[in-house]
Amino acid sequence: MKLSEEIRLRNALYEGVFRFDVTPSLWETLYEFRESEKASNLVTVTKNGKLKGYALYFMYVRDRFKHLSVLDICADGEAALSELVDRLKEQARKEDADLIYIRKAPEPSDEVFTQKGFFSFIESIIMVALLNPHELLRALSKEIDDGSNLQLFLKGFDPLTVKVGESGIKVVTNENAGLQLSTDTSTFLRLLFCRTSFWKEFLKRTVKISKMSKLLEAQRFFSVIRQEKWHIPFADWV
Amino acid sequence: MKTERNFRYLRNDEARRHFDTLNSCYHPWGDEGEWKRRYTKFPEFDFTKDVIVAEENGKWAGGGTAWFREASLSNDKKIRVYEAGDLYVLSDFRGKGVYSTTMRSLNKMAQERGAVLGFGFPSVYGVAASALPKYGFVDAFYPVTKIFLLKPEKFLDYFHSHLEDYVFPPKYDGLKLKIIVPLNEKRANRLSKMFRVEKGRLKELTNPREVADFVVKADFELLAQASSLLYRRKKTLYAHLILALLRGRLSFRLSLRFLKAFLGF
Repeated sequence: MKLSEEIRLRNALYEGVFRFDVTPSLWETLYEFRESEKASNLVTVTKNGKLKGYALYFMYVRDRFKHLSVLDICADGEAALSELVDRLKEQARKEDADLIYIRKAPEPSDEVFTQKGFFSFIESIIMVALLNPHELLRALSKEIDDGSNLQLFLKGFDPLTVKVGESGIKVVTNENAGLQLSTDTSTFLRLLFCRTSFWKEFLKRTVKISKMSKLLEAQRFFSVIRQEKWHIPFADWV
Repeated sequence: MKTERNFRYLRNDEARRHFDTLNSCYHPWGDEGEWKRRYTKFPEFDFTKDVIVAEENGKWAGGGTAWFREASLSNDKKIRVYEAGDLYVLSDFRGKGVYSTTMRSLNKMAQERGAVLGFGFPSVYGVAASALPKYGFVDAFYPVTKIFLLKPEKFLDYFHSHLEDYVFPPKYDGLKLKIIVPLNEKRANRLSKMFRVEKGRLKELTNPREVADFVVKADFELLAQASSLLYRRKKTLYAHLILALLRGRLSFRLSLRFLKAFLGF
């Protein structure tokens, strides 16, 4: 499957970041939706013939406002982002839009938007439900030699055993565990996506462990599995 | 009569009915383009597996849709996820728990088909944001909305149109209110609107130079942030407003007449 330059840039920029994968057919349907009257437009920034950034947008009218709504914006560095934002503003003027509308993950480069006169606020939430912790932890597993076993009790799911090492975890079967950790799925997800800290939840007793001497081990488990950064642009929302 | 509720998948010949039902429940849900984007052209989407219909005593009562995707974790390993959406309950069946059982059925169906995580994308202003936690959903990410206004005066008119629906208590009748929105850091440019409360409703005054009983000055960012915090019932709203006052981003002035009306003297 041949990937477009835009998908390759997206994958390179967001490597190691929690994201939805985009195949060429998903790109065509969700990002470009060519067959719609609202077909999106692509703005790109290149340097020495190499793609440095892109933004996809479409125009629509809602609540009497003509929006230039951005589906995804990716840039390799602040200079490329700054150029992209200028190009979007230029397009918005050409299209006689009332406003430019972008929804994105907060990033350090967001200062560019403030400098360009954008204001920010929160009006949507991405909510997540845990359906299969075993498969999740299996995907987060890697080959580790040393470590001690932890048995995880998540309300509503069967207990599972994980070997916790210095640099990673591994789901194991038929092995005894020296530590039992229990929590609810909501706290587990908040810890996974860095919405809270292990120490805070431990003090609140929403995370309970069987042996105080292994407290740091429990803390290491969550610090190894956590997903710190994310990229789920508006194009991926259904 | 005992209520019998069951779930089934959409049948192939019911796709169009699903589209019409969504449009009648969401007033409107979307056009043909949106239909193609989310349903007929969505890769590997299957009406007979991804859309469920809730029935009550054999009658179509509601439904919901699951879109399956792959997601990459921080170690670049992939997991199967699903996006829940287009949940609806037909008007005759509302308030009977159809939404709850549909949402639970969607989660169960997605789980059986290998989804590791489920996703929902509610607005902070809607009911879904407060309903989804009942079905195991947690607020994991807060996307930031960034707005650039090309026609700020139109935005102020929009705020005004929303205020028009608000009914003030009779004690405020005759009072003049003014809103000032600075447009840049230097505050050289600003927009303003002036109103008088007449029979509980705000009536716009054409002369903004009249002396107002209540003047509030706040930029668009503060107005948007405050309304978001208010909807999310965040206690930080007060801290946010106090900080804005201290930083000079928010200011207000009251007349004695306003204060008397407010305190009920």
